Amino acid sequence: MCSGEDLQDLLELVHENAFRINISASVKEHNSISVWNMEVSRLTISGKTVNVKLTSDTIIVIAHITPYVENDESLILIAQGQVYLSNPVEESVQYVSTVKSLPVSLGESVLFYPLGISEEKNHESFTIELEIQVLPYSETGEER
Amino acid sequence: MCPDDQILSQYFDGEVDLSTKEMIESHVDDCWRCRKRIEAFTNIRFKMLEEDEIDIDSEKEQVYRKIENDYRFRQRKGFWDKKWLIPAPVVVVSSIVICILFSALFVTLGMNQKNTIALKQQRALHIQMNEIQLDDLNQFFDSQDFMIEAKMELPAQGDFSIMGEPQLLRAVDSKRR
Repeated sequence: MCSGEDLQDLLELVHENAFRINISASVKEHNSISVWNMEVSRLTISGKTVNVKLTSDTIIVIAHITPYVENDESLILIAQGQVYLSNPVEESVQYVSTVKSLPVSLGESVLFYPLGISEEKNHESFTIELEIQVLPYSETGEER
Repeated sequence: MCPDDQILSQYFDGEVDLSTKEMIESHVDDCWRCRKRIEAFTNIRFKMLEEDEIDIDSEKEQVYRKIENDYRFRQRKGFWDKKWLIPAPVVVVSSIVICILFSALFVTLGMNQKNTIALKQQRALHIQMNEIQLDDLNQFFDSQDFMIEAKMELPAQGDFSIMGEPQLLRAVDSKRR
């Protein structure tokens, strides 16, 4: 088991290549009114996934967020969503999974909707939104 | 005045009327030049009547041979000048097969392109490690708690549903929608 000093050395070794992933997860009513919100932040490196699991009485949403730095220094964000939605009336569970990728810039805000978005303004269902921001670790300093 | 060659020739062939003939005869009697011209016409006629029929068989043979050679030369076409006769059903079947093969090729290429978007080579990360072991690195990242779990506290009304295909888009693009 390495010591704190070793970890600090390790951190310094990777800090130029590490990222801070800021995630703001929210549940919105009628596409606009936020009824629940959570903010987290994690340190990661290219290819290392940060997972967010949101649960309620009828749903489990797991979002896997992975930044990738390519050979040409461009950054790609990959978001995989896994949704388990229960239907008490039909006594069934609906499972949906998808993978989306997007070239992004450092500091740019990206929105991930694992359940999709309704075009109707006053629809009844909740919308789950994850606002993701990838920042270079060297600029953000120590982990929160 | 002496008649021109054409009128004199017509007179010699007997193709003029009586008055013109008498006029020319009266003139020829007094004009030695016209008499010479009449003599020349006469000599030509005699020569033509005397000559045996000209033998043109050898010339004919030469001409036929030339025509034949020209024809054969034109018939001798290059590969790209030849005309190919292919039955219509063969053309139709070949076209369908070629279309199917090209379609399959394009679909395969398209699928490969889609598959390779996420598989581009990632930039290699070189970490100089002296005393730190690979296990330490693994434990370090495991300790960062990469699974964030949260229980959503929601109002009683309202529920969740799949509203469509999941979306990943830039915040600026979302505001434009």
